[in-house]
Amino acid sequence: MPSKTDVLQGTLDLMVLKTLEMLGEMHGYGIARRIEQVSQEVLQLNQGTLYPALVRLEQRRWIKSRWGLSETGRRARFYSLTQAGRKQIEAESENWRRTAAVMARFLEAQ
Amino acid sequence: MSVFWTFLARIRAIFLGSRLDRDLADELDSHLEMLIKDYQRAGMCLEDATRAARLRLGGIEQTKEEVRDERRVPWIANFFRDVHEALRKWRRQPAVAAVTVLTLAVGVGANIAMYDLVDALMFRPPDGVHAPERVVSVRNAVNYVRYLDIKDRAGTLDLAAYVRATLSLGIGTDAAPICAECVTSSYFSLLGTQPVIGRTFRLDENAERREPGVILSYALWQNQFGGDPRALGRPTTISGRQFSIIGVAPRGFRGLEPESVDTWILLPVAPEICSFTGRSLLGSGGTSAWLRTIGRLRDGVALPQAAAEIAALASPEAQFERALDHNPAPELEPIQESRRDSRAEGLALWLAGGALVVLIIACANVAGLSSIRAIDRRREVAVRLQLGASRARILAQHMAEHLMLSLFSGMAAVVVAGWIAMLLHTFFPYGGEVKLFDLRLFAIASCLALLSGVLSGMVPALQASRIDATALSRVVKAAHPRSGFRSVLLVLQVALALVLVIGAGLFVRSVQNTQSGLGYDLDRVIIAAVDLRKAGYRSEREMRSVVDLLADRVRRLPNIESVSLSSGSLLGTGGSVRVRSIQGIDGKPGEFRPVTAVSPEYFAALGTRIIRGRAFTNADNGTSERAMIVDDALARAMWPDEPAVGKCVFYYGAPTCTRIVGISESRRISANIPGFRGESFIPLAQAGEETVPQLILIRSRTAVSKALPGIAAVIRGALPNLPFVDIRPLEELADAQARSWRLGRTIFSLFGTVALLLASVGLYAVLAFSVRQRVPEIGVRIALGATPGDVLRLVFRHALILVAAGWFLGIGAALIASKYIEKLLFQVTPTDTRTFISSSAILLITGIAGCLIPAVRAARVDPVVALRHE
Repeated sequence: MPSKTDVLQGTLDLMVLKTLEMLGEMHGYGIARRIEQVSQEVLQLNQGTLYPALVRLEQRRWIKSRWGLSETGRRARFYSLTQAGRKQIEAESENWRRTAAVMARFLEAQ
Repeated sequence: MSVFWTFLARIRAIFLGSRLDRDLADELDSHLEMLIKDYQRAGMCLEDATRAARLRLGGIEQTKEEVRDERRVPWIANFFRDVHEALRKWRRQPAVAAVTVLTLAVGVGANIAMYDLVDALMFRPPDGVHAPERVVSVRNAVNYVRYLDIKDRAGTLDLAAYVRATLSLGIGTDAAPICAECVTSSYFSLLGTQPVIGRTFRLDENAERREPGVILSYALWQNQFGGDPRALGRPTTISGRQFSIIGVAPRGFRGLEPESVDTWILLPVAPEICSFTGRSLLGSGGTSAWLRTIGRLRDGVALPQAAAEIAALASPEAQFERALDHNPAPELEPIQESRRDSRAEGLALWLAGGALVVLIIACANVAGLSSIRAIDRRREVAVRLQLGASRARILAQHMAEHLMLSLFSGMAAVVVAGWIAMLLHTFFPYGGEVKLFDLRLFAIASCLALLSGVLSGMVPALQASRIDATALSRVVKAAHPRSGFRSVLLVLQVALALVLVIGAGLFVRSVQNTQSGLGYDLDRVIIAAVDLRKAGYRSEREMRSVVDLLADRVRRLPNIESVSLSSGSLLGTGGSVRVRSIQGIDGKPGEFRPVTAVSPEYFAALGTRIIRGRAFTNADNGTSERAMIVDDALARAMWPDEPAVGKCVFYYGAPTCTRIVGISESRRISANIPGFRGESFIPLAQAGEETVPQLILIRSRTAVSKALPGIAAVIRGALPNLPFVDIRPLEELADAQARSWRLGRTIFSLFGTVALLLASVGLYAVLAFSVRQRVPEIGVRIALGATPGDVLRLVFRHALILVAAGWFLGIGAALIASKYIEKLLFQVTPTDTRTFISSSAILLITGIAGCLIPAVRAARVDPVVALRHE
């Protein structure tokens, strides 16, 4: 049974991966903003929590990073998906859909 | 797969630590900047935007921390950091750390030493013996006649035999006693022992060699010959005979018995020094019991099969004896069982239990100390929690510190164990030598230390991590935290300490008892055992006159009160025992009884009282009526309702009446044998030609140490050919018998003292802490008019409650345990009142000592300072 933190982490990880799939290459701030936007401001991230997640994903080689320049001219790190990351998105999405379907059936059961 | 990459990345991160940190800092900085820009674009001023951005981003330090945790193998890095931190703390407060390490070391060390003892006594197979589980002891082949009888006829076993004897090594004044085993030629091949140098006895070891061979023990080889391989072939004199050294036994090899052996010689070659049957090993037929026979089961043979065969081969006498026995012991017994001394084992187990108790007390102490220290550090922990540390980290930190403690105490424990083992060895020469640097010992030491350290740190660590950070601000003003945990620990410690002290007290009484109520005086009596056969005499008449001469000469020495002679052994110093049969007592058939022939001064010399009738006099000689003295126990057994004096006893071979002329007090011949043996004595003058006295008992007027050299000089002067003269104070022999009780006394006293010390330290710690917490309260009391006496009473009452609770618990535990310890004591009931009372008194004194300092400190509290105390 995955612990509560694991589930939370897993969710965040998937969101980050999906965001990168949509955006292509982006820095940390951009990813955070995007997540908030997509969730329609329901999620108010403590944006700092993003960074451990990024490190985790990078360690597992689902994303890769390079240094570049941000809009402000500051040095910033840009992340992008790897091939393995794309596969992971598929696998995770499938999991979520299955879970959601099962839950839906339970919630509608008489 | 991803797990693998993760792991690799983390290892990499260990090395790149600081660069990654800088990168992260940069990244977060730019993130912040972008946030600020956005807020500014939304219309905020720089200041507001900055503040909002920081809020949005969250704690930067915390983020850095979390990233770092993700990056590294967190627990390794954290562990090292915690260790470093712990070491730093100790350097600032070395006393506390030292006490903790020492406490654990004593506890763990004691257990290791006891483990070693139990292992050696109960489990460890004899050194140097191949496949010891196939070796059995053959119970009924107790002399050479019977051994020869079955040796060649047994098809299921290989057989060998041995007997131990105290011989002398060297000549004249350089002669020293050694313990030797006289063995048959099959002995070494049966045991499968391989020599270190040279060889062991061959199956066809020829008894006609000019110089028969001797095998040295490893220890003797090292001590006397310096481990020199050229010792092989050298001649050596043992008990007046020449031997040549043919080999050295492996290290630690000592045959099948726990006590060590110095040399091995071939039994058929030197029967007169090995056995008291004299020149011929076949002497005294098949009736005496002096030899031990062992066997090795041949391949494919099971024990019951061999036992059946041996039973069938037994001689008619043996079978007859066996039939008489109500509870016959098995014919064959695996040596692991037959060599076990149940009393020694029982004691060893109790000692091991005592060591465990000491360890528990030690752990309790450490736990208490930790708990106190944790409370001191509450503020620091609260701050840490607020800074974002997780409770798990706090816990891990405590455990790391305790792990370090365990490590150090483990190392110290080995030293403690070695010291205790050396102490034990003076009582029990068990298991060869002290193996201080055994790998197994290290492993056990580490595990035990680890376990103790972790266990004792667990609860305080959990308590510490449960601190509610926000409540901390209020905690100072709250009432002093009366921790139930610490009180319980202390009560437990006190109880256990009491149990150990009671145990020690019981053993002390046992030892005292072995020295009194024996029926003879221990001090001022010296025993000289002279076996004239070893001096070259052959005729009994000659030997008797020599002994009389000796006795006379000794009698003339100054300060000698009386000298007497005896044919029998007393406390196992030697001499043969004549067994006679009491044919009838007023017509009733009798039984075999050992009889000792003594000279008239015997009872006076030993201090054995004659309860009724009279002692022997010079008038009891060859022409007067045959006289006899029996001891009280025998008299009661044979004539329960009538006085024994004046009764007649009949012997085989002496048709006339032997009249009982006196009753002596019952003696305890050996403290190891329960009950009284029932002795009988006849005058030496009436004993018959073949009885030669072998013991000279001397009672001196002065201290034994002063008289001994003079006596030794006289005897040696009269018998220059005697290889070795065994002259010892009677006290020394009795001490050897009391060995196990003395061991119990020493070790239990040691444990008891340590336990008391620990308990008092624990009490001190708890009270000191409690007083410190209550300083404001005490200040208020004093300000309101309490006298120092009142404050003292306050502290004492707290201490008293704890000690009393411990006392109740301890007494209860001692009473429960008493049933099991009974067998180990000597003439002491396990619930001996005097012991319980004196132990309680000791506990009380210790308790008072422990609470003295805190109480005094409490009384001296200055109310002004106290009320300002933060």
